[in-house]
Amino acid sequence: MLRLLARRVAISAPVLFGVTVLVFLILHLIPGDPAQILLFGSRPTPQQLAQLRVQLGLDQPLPVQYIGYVGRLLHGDLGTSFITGRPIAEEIAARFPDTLQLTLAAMLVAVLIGVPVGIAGGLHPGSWTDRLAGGFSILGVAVPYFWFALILVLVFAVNLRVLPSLGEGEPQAIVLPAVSLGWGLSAIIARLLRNNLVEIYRQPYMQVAKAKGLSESMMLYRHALKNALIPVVTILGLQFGNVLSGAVVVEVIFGRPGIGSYLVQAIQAKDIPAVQSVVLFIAVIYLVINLLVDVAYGVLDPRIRLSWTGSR
Amino acid sequence: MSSAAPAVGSGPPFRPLADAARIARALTSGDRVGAAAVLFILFVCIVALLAPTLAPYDPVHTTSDTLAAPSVRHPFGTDQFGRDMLSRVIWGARIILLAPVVGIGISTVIGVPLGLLAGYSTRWISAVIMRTMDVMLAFPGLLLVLIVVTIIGGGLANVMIAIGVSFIPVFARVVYGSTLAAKGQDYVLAARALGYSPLRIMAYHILPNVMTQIIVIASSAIGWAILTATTLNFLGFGVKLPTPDWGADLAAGKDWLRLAWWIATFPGLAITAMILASNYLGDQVAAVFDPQSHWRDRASRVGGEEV
Repeated sequence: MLRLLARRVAISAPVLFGVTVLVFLILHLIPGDPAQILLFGSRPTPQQLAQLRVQLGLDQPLPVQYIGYVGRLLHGDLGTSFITGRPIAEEIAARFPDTLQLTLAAMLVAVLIGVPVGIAGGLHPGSWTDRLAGGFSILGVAVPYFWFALILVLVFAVNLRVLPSLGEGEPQAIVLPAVSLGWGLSAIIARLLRNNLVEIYRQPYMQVAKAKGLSESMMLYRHALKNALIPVVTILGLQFGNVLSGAVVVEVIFGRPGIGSYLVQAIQAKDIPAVQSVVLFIAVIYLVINLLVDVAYGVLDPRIRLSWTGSR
Repeated sequence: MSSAAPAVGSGPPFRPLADAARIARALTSGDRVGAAAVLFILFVCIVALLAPTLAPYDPVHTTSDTLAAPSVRHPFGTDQFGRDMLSRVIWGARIILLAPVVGIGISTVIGVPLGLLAGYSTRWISAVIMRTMDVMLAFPGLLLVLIVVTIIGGGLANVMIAIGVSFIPVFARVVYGSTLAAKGQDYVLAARALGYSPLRIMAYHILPNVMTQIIVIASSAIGWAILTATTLNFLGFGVKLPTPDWGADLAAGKDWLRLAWWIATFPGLAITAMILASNYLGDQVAAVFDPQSHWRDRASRVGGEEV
C-alpha cells in the first residue's frame, strides 16, 4: 500500500506544481496591468499603483514572483481580498464548512437514491423496474440541476410549504439544495450499479451460489452487492470534485453561504486573489481525493486495473 | 496508468457519407426514441433559423402585460417586464445551438492537433503538451470554465471560448493515445519510408484513422457543453438580459417562482429536452462508430493521470 501511495504521490506532485502555476498565472493572463486589475474599481493614482507593484513584487520577473507566491502559499497565506480587505484564508475557512456539509449531504442523497434504484434495475434486467430505473438515469443526467432546484423549491417550498427554500440554521434548509445537487450523481450511480449487477449475475460464482440454494437476498447481499459497490465507491470519490464545483451554482440559487457563492461573487467583483485561492483550494481537494480513491481502489481490489470503465 | 482513450486508434476508416448513412439507418431502424431525438434537434434548428417569423412577439419588447399566466395570447405566459416567454424561448434556441457547437468546435480544432503533435513528435514536446493537459484536467470541468471566464471576461463569445478551452484536454488525450498506437502501424512506417513529412503523415495518414474517435467524443460532449453554457448564462457570466436565452431566463424566473412559475419552467423544459436529445444521439453515434469503446465521462476522469 505504501508503494502504491508513493507512486500515486509521485504522479500527483508535478500536477500539483502545474496547478499552482496555472492559478498563479490567472492574474497575469488577464489582459492589462496586474496592479491595475488588483485595484479594480478604486481608481488608484499612479503612485499607488507603483507602490502596490513594489509591495507585491509585481515589478519582478515572473519566476521570482511565482516562487514568492508558492512561498506564501506554504505559509498558509492566500493573500488578502481587495474587496473585503480580509485575509482570503479566513474567508475560505469561514465558508468551507457550509460547502462541505452541502457536498456531503448531496453525496448521501445520491447514494440513498442511486443505490436502491440501481439494485431495482440490476436484479431483473429488462423488467419494467429496470426500464423505470433506466428512465430515471437518463432524466437524472439530462435535467439541469439548477432547474431541478427551482422545481423543488416550487413544489416543496412554495406549494406544499413543507421545506424551507432559503435560510440556514434550520437543519431542514439543507434538504432541497442537497437533493438538487445530488440528483444527477444518483442517476450516474444507479446506472453504474445496475450495469455492474447485471454483469456480476452472469458470473460463474453466482451460478454456483444459486446452485447451492442460496436465497435471492443472500445472493444479492453476500455476493453481488459487495463487488458491484466497489466501482460505486470509486465514482463517489471521483465525482466529489464535480459535486463540489456544482455547489457553486446550488449555493447561488439557494442563497447559501459557502466557497461556491464566494467564488461567483469574487469573479463578478474581479477580486482576483480570492478567485485564485478558491480555485486552488478546490483543485487541491479534487487532486487529494482522486489520489486517495486511486490508492483505496488499488488496496480494495488489486485485480481490477486502475483504469476502470463503464462510468458513462 | 489509466487510459482515458479508447485503447487503439485502429478503428474503421473514416468515410463521411457511408458513416452518415450508417448513423441515419441506426437511428431510424425501429428506434423511435432515436427518431424522436433527431426530429427534436431538427425542430430546434428550424425554430432557431425561423425565429424572426415564428416568434409571435418581439422577445425583448416590454409591455404592461406583466407576469401574465399562460393563455392563448401568450402560451408560455409573460415575464416580469411583460415580454412574451414563447418568443423568448424561440429566440433562445439560437444560443442553445450556437454555444455548444462553437465551443466543441474550438476544442476540436485546438485539441486534435495538440494530440497529434504530442503523439507523433519528440518525447520533450509530447511531455510539455500532455503534462499541460493533465494540469487542465486536474480541475473539475465547471471550475476550469470559470477560470477561463475570469481571465477573458464574460459575454456569450467568451463563454463559448471557455467551454472550448476546457474541453481541449479531452480531445488531446484521446487523439494522443490513438496517435501513439497508429505510429507503430505498418502504414505509418511505409509513409515514413517514402519520405513523407511528419505534417503530411499526421494530416493524411493518422488523422483519418482517429477521426471516428474524434466524432464520438465531440458528439458525447455536446450535452455537457449545453449544460455548461446554460449554467454560465444562469450564473450571469454569459448572455446579458434582455437577450433571450434559456439559461438567463431560468435565472430571471428564479426570483419570480412564487408569482409566475412559467418564467423558469418553459426554458427549463427546453434545456432538458435539448440535453436529453443530444445525450441520446451522442450515445448512438458512439455505438455506431465504436461499439467496443468504453468512453468515459469527462467528469470521472482522474486528474493527473497520463495516457
